[in-house]
Amino acid sequence: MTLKNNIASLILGIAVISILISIYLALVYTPSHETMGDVQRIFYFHVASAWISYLAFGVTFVAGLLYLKSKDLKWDTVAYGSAEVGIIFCTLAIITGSLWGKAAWGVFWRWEDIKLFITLVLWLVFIAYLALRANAKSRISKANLSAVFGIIGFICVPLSFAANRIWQQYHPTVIATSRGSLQASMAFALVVAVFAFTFLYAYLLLTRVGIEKMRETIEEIKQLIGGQNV
Amino acid sequence: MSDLIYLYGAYTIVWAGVFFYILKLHIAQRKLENEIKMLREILNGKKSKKNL
Repeated sequence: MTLKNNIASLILGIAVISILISIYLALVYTPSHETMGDVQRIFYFHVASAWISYLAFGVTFVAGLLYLKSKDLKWDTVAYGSAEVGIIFCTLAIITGSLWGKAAWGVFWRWEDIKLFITLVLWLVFIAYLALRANAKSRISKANLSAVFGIIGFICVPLSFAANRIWQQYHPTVIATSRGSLQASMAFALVVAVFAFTFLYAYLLLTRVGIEKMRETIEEIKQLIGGQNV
Repeated sequence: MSDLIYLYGAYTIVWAGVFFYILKLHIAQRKLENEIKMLREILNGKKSKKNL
């Protein structure tokens, strides 16, 4: 077993243990919400998913910048892996949010809510990022195009984060300075859920990057085999 | 009680989504490991033939 495999296993172990603890905290330890009841328990993993999607797209943004600066393809691999994991978590945040919205508002989606709209745009932007990569011809043009697209697409992250704080429509603000702040036990459960998802993200990113590296190794070996045929 | 279906739905989707994504990555990883192993064997075979 290599050092990388050991690190990945350790991160996965921490993620699994903290996920089990966070499920216990979310479903058993925290009290029911005064007005919404038990359905509010969706909140812990909805918020954690949304935060991790922001983190993942942030990593894509930083890795994109590092790629453009250094032209080192390893940063493109990191950016791509993080974007894919970010889309998974963004999808989970949108679906769980819709289910919570149905229970709270009576509808799955409110098009007039700017927070929801920008988050959907963010999701679509990174779906387009993956489509763009799939259609780019050379490895270099794929890396250049997706670095620029990932950097521009990241603009939606601070907009999505700030939208409910600026416009205060239907989507509640979780971390507020005074108004509507969380109970201590709920805040603790949320922190543990975010911690657990951060380790899960780290594991998924390491695995995803590892897969891309294996694909590159395969291409290199194929070239060597081709070269020996000549 | 009727609202609980959304809670169950949300938890099922989150954990099923994470599980299937991890499964997909592991299947891809295993497949690529086997391909690398096979290609290395071909490469080593060609090298030894060349040396003969």
